[in-house]
Amino acid sequence: MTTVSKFPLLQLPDEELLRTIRVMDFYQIMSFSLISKRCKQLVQSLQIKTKPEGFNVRIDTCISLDVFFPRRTIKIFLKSCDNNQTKRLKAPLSVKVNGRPLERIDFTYSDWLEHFQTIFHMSIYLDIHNGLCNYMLDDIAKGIGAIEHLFVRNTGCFATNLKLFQKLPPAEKLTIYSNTFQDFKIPLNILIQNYTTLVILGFPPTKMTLDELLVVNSKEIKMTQVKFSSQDLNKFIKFWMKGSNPRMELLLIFTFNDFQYERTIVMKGIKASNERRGGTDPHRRKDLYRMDIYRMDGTRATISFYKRGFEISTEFHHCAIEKCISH
Amino acid sequence: MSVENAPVVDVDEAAIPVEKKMYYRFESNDKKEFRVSELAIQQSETLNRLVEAMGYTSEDVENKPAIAIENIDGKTLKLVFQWCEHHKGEAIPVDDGSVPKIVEIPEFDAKLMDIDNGLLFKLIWAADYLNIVQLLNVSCKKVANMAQGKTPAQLRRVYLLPSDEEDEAAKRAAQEAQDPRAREVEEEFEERKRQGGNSFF
Repeated sequence: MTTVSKFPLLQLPDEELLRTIRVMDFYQIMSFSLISKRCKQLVQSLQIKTKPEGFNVRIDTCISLDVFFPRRTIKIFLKSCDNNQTKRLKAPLSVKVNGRPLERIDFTYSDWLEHFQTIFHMSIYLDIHNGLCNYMLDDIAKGIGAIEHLFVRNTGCFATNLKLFQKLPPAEKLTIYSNTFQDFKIPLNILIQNYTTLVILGFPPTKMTLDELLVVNSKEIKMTQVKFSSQDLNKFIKFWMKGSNPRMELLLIFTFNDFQYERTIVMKGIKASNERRGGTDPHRRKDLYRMDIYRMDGTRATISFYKRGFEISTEFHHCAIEKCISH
Repeated sequence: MSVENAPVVDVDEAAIPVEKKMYYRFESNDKKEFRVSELAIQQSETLNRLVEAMGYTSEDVENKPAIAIENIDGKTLKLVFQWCEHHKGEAIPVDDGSVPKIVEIPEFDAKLMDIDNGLLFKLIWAADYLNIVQLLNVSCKKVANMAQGKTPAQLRRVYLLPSDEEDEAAKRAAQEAQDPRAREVEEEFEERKRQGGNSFF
C-alpha cells in the first residue's frame, strides 16, 4: 500500500494559500473547487477572468460549456445517457474538462452549471438546441444564474420552447429563430421584453406585421430574413416619429437575397431631410440612400436603404450598417 | 558617441576603490548563525528594509550581535539563505494577477525543495515572513504539483481538507467556545418569535 503524502494547505498564510491555488492549472483549480464550499469560495476569491461573453453553454442532447480565457479555452462536457435519451436524468453520466474527468457524485445538472458559473464569475451565453426535452428544464433553469445572451433554436417541441421563456431568468440579449414557435409567430409577450438586443433570424424566411414590430421594446432590433411590407414600414416610421417604440435605437432588417424596399412607398408622406447617396465612410456602399427624420421630441434618426437591407438608426446608436452586417 | 570615437584614458587601477562585499550575520531561533551577502538579502523585502534601516557598516556587522530572526529555525533559514545566495542579483518578479499563474521550478530549486512536507510548510511560512516573492512562487508551485492527476476526493486527503460537514461542525464549535451564552440568546429570540413578539430588545 502506498502512503499518501499530506500537506496542511489550509494552515498556510492566506496569501500563500491563494498563491498555491493560483499556480495550479485550470483542471487542478476546478478539481479543487469541487472539494467543499470553502474550497469553492477560495477559488471564487481568485476572481478568475474570462473574456467578455466568455462562458458559452450549449444545450442539445448533452451540455457542453466553452469557457474562454485570454490565453486559452477550456471545454467542459456533461455527458447524458447514451442509449435511452428520453430518460430524464438528474445528473450527468460523466463530466470532462478538456477530456479529463471531473468528479462530484452528488451534483445534478443544475449544480454543475451553477458551480462553473460561480467560480468563473460570468453571466453566460446560453445556446439551446434540439434535445432540451431530454433534460429536466426546471433543473437546468435552477442552475443558471444571469444570462447575458440567450440563443434559442427550435428544441423540437413548441411547448418546451415556450416553457423556456417562463423558466429561464431574463436575458440581456435574445437571439431567436422564427421556427421556434408555431406558424413562425413569436409571441407578443416575448417581443415586448426590454432586451438590450433582440435578434430574430427568419428560418425559413418569415413575414412579420406592423403590430408585432410596434410591441418590440428592445434597444437594438436586428432581423435577418424577416420581411415587412413597405406600407407597414411606412406606418412604423410615422408611429415612431409620433413617439412609438421609445427605447428603440436601431432597427436593422436584412435579407440574403437582393430584395430592396421601395423607397418611395416607405417614405411616402414622411418629411425627411439631408437626403444623400453613398457615404463618406470608405466602407459605405454605393447603393446606399440615407436621409434624416426627426421624432416629435427632437431625436434624430437616419434611415438607410440599401440592397438587401433597411435601417433606422437614432443619434443615440453607434452601430453602423456595415458593423451589424459583419456580425 | 560610438565606441571607436570614445577617448582612451589611462586608468590608475590602484586609485579605483575596490567594492567590498558585505556579509550580514543572522541568527535563527535555535541560535544558528548565518552569513548572507548584501546582494542575496535583496531577494527578501523584509530583510532588505531591515538592513537598510539599521545602516550597519562592515565593522558594525562584525562587532554587533547577529540579527535575530526569532520565528524561523536554523534548518529552514539555511534553505532560505541557500536559495537567496543562488538567486542573488535576479530581478524580483512582478505579479501580473493572471490565473493560472505560470511558474517553472528551476533545477536548483527543485533539488533544494526535495524535502519532507513539514519542512516545505516551514519554508513557505519563512518565505512569507521574509517576503521572498520568487521563493514563494516556486514553493507554492511545489505544493500545487501535489494536486496533479488527483480527483477531488484524493485532493481532500492530500491537502487535509475538511468536508462541508466538518467545516460546519468546526464553525459551530468555535462559536460556542467563543460565546457560551450565544445559544441561550438564540433560543430566547426564537421563543419570543414563536410568541409573536415583534420587539426583542
